[in-house]
Amino acid sequence: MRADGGDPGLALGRMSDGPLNIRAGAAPSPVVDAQPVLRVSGLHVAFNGAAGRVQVVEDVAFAIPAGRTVALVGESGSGKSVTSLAVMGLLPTPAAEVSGRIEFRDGAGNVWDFARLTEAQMRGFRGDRVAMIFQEPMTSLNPVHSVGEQISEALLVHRRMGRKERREAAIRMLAQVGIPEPERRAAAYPHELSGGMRQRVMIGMALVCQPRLLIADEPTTALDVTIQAQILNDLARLQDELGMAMLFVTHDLGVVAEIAHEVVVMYAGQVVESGPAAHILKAPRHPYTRALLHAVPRAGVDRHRPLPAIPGMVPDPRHLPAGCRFHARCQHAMAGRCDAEPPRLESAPDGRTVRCLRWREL
Amino acid sequence: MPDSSGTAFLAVDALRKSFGPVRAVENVAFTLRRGEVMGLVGESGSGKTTVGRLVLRLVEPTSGRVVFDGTDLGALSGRQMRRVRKRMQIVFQDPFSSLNPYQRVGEAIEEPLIVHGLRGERAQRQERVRELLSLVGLRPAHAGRYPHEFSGGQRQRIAIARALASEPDFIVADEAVSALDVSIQAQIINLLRELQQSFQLTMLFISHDLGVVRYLADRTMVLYLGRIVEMGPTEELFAAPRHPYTRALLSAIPDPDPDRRRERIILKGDVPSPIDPPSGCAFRERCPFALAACAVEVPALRAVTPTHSKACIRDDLH
Repeated sequence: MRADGGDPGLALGRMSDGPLNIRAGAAPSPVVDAQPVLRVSGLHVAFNGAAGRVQVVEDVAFAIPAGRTVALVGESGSGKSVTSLAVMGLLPTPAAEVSGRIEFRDGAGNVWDFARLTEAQMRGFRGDRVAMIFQEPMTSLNPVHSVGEQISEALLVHRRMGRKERREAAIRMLAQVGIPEPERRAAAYPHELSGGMRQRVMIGMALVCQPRLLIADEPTTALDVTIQAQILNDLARLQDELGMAMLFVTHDLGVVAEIAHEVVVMYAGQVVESGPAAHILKAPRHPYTRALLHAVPRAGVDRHRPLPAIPGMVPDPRHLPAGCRFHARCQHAMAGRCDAEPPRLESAPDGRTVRCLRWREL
Repeated sequence: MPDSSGTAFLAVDALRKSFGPVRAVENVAFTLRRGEVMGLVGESGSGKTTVGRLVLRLVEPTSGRVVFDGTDLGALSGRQMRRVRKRMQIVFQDPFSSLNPYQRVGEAIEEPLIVHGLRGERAQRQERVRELLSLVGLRPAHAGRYPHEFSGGQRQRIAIARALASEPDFIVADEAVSALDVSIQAQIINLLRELQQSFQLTMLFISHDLGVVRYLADRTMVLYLGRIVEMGPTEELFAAPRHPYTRALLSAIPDPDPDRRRERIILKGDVPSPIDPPSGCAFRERCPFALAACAVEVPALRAVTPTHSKACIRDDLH
């Protein structure tokens, strides 16, 4: 679903060879590979703290085949970032209790359940076959090492590669992530680079061992839109080149439309809807997904009318409402039903799932 | 609706600000009518925050003038400026860092009333605090709580109540909804719009979020490396941008509608350093339409229609 040619409707013409909708051509395929790179099922995460035990992720499931992107979408407190950290084995123990299956299939076809591996075993995967990038590169990059050294570090740790080879690989990686003058830039320190360049360096660090799975947690949220467009474009290109599966965590449904094949919408720790991105963005079934789409001001919105905001706020995970967790904010909630009966995540025949008692009638 | 008499309520002329070798704002000029909302968009380093601060004289300009309701702010003494300041307020992105964590929100909202000597009696001031809390959708009983007891959206409501306490007629909103989750952001956008309309507030709405600006602003100006590159009525500017940078910027907004296929213009490279900007047009190195002439002179902002202007020498692009 890569870009086709230029669009004659735009007088300005193309400024680069960048695709328009990065994913636009991809036929939304409900087919989930029989052997996905990552299969998460029945994932639960709870935190034990001073305030007691708090369940923050409940029964989350999804699968990502090679070369495909699943977007985890939600607002603060939805559990999307906790889910991605659980997959990487990066939640603090023993404060975080993780249960369920996080099955990763390596290149040789072996399946590893990350929920059951030790920290030492996980370290063998992270930065190698499984890698992660974050929103703020400055907190992930070491300020006292050159970016070349940082990119090549994983090659020393996981590949025992020699110095010269590592340096060459780092320069190749910098070029691959779109950094001009890679030989010179390899010697630069993070503070000498712009925000967009730093994000590219972090992507280079993540990809240098050619992971089978990349987890990207809001990687473009802190960037300006023109730089975000560059990075999304590059991520899609790199995914094609490396054939990796990608878990993309974001709050931005516009970004979902650009990058994702499948989408998993989360609310208050649960999956409320999932399926092919193009279908869900076009015809959402869960009232929360629908409300979220309408709450964003965009082209065609009548500016003389109030925005259709979602009233109230995300519930406190320590005091979740009875019934559907969204019912107090939902304009379709039925008294006596939605506030009493917790909806199950139902599968529709078209490969989508939805957690709403009323989805068939709405 | 903005006042249509045509007189400028706020007039900014030839505003410049340098921080050492960095020319943060260069030759910015615009006017606002009473009740008008001006959107100010630009990316990091464009100077948009500095423009907002210069207009409020929170930062002294290197040169240029700001005339507010007939008064040249540069000519005022500190004491005179304070009197004007109660009419000009600012709402920031992060209310958590602008609210004192040890101060009850009622006191935070009351403070500007004391500073500006408004509503002399304590009881009257507290009555006003309760009014302001209701105005922004909070309960009067919230006055006794501390900032950490509120969510991000509620804290932004408190910051807005505080800004409105001195009954300003001009507000600078600097990324006022940018840190909020989508569902909360829409609530605050609606609140700002309601307040703007009921009090006929004149507003400079600074944001990197073009969708929010499109919804709230009557007119929009686009800043690139400290200069206005385009300014015009919001609907017109979004529907038919005249400057290549504006076009690239608008095309980069991700749209959730999978049917809205459009040309995505991907700019090469980063914004150049403001210490050493390219000669001539600062955008020319990233602009696919740059000509040799673009390197010669800084293009002037000139009218393409009576209400729409751009700073680009190429008139042959649309």
